[in-house]
Amino acid sequence: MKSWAWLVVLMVLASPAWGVTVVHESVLHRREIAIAKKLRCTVCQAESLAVSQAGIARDMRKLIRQKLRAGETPAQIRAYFVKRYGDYILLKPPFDPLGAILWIWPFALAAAFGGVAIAVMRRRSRAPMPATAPELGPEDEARIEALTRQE
Amino acid sequence: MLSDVSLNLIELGHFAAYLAFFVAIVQALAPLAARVFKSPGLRTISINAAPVLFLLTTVGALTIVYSLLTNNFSVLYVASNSNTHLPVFYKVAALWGGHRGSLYLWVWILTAYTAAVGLHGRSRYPDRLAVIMAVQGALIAGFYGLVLFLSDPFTRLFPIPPQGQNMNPLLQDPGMVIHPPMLYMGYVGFSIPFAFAMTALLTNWRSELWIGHTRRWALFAWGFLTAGIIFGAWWSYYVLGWGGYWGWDPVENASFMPWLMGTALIHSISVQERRRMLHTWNIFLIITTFALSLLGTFLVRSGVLASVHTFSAAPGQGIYLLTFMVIVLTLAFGLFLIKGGYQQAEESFISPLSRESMFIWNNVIFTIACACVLLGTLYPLFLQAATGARISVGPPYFDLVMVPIFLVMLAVMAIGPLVSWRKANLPKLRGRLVVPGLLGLALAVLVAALWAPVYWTAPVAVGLVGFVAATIVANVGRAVIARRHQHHEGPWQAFTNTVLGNRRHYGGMIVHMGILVIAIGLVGSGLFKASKLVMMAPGDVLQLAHERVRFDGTRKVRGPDYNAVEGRLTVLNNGAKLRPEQRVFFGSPMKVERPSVNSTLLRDVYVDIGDHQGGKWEIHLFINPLVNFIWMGGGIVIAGLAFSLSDYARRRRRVAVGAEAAASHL
Repeated sequence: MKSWAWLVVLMVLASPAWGVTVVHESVLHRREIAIAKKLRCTVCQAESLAVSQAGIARDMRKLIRQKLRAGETPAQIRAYFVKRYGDYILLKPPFDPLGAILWIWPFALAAAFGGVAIAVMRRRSRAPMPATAPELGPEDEARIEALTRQE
Repeated sequence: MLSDVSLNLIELGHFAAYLAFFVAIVQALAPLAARVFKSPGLRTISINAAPVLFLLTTVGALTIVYSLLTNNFSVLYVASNSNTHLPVFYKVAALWGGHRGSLYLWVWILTAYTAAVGLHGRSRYPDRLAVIMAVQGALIAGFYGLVLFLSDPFTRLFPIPPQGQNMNPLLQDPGMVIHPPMLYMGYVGFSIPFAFAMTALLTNWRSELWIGHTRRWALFAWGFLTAGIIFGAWWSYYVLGWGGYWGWDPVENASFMPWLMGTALIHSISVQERRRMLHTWNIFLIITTFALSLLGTFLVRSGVLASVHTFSAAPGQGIYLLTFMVIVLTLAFGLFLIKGGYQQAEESFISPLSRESMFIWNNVIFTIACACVLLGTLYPLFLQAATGARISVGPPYFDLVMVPIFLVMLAVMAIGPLVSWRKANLPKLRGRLVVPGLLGLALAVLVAALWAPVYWTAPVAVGLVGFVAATIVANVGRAVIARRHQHHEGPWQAFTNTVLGNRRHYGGMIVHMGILVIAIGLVGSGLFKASKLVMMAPGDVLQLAHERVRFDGTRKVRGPDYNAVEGRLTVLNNGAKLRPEQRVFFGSPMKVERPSVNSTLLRDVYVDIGDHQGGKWEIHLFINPLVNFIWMGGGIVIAGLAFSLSDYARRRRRVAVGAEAAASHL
């Protein structure tokens, strides 16, 4: 029992130190950037939290890191920010009634344009061709000969 | 103190600009007047107005530059975009460093293009030149209206302030000095194909008489737009300090959309030249490309999107630009619907598998790409206007949607140039695709194996790049071998003769190679970058992806119009010194981080310095692989384009010599 208590004390004492070790920090940083990349800096124009130099972006990055340290998953952290700032903070719009068109659009376009292109090429290629050109006469051959010599 | 004359020289420019506005209106109306009054002589007014307009606008521009150089703060534009500390270089560039001046630059470039077409057309298409000039004149008048009545760069200020405000610190960089003129040369350049198309519709101009000229003007504009976009990325990378070069910012998208449609256009136009088809589609593309150029200007200049590019704009300008755009496009598309029937294709597809059908696929993909960027850029604006709901569409969305589209583009790029015109010979085509295809596959497997847990786009993209490169090399190789057999030349001679003999085609292939080099750069820097943000004390060493960087301390430095803290770092692997700065410009509370980059062919070590806290400084280190490939690829694209266009100059010389020879025979 006593040894258990010691272990708990040791763990509590050591836990901030884990955060400082280089490996741990770099992994945390990578995760933090991965999350920050998908969130918008709320005071900037079209910049993500990952790249913004604004003060609030720094603070929000710090918050992400704290939450990561506390063991929250990226999904939980994203949910936290969405709850506070709304969908506006997500740089990748969700597939919901408002954002759905953005995700359907590329496929709809591909179907529409691709379909039209195929239809046009099929129809046009079936259309009657102009009559075949008449055979070349000796006169034409002489002209071609003269032209090639000029080259 | 300035003398009275130089203080008020700006009024000469103002007068010239007003005069130009009226000349532009006359230019636009002269052919109409010639028709109404049945006196064809009036048409020449239109043509002769072009150089006059250019001259007047140049006078206006020069007086603004003169006011900037002489610190004439009685001019509002000078007082708000320049001050006495600003280096001369940036004083000149301040002409387009602010909102009003940059609109003036737009008009100036438009008049320059108009004058150039005026000269170009005198001997080549004199019968339609007046109408082309009239269309250009209408555009010039429209933009002059905006410049003179809503965003006048000649406005005076009284009392005269002793000192001006500074130019936006972020814009004080050589990259930014080049970027706007290049981009505008591109945007505005697409007005020329537009004017040709309008003239063709208005006057029933037979397509083979104008499409060749249009193609060259479109290529010219496309080259500048490409260069402008690359310079913009370059500026973003070396100045903004976020370690990247492209962020799917709405303003970047605004320049990318006309680029995508312009790319579709320059491909599709050659189908019309070669196969006499797609006439109406090409006119549609020409109008759309120019429409997107206008839209880009509207998005950037109206203040609808706020960003570093938009400066500050009054709402009236946005409404003006929007109205102007709607009028121009309604007229253009209306004309297209009414008169487009005359511009009918003369031939049609023979087979769904042919070079022309590959060009169709190119067009389909580029149009889809453009429409996706368009929706992603505008949808949040519409949604907010319509429902008040705010959503964001940012890089994660665009990466997800656009990267697959880019990959399909690469695939079409590989196959397209191998397919013969009219009807492809399927076995032959298959034979030509096998080896490059296997090579690409091998490369993809190699990349997937070497960098094991890697996102799927990396091996696919590299594989496709290898595939395309192999098809291009094989294509050139086959042509060289054929030539050697035919002309009994040495390999080198055969190569140069082949390539020089068909500059248009091989120029295009060089452009494709440049795109491949850019693609490699995008894959490398997009998927293999690493970054770290740490607090460092002098003497600390930071390691990231095989690179070790030592922080040696800081130093205070003073620039011409700013104070800065300079971080001193050493890349230990090659001893390179890095000097990132944090600048505070006079008259601006903003702190600007200026990164420092040590660049080699394969990787950039990129570092920013931030705030300090208890003897430690915030250091943001990025390792960006292969970024140089993007800039090199851009250079190759432009070189290839120039090579392709040089064909035209050569042919003209030959025609001229031929004509002379013929004349001397007589």
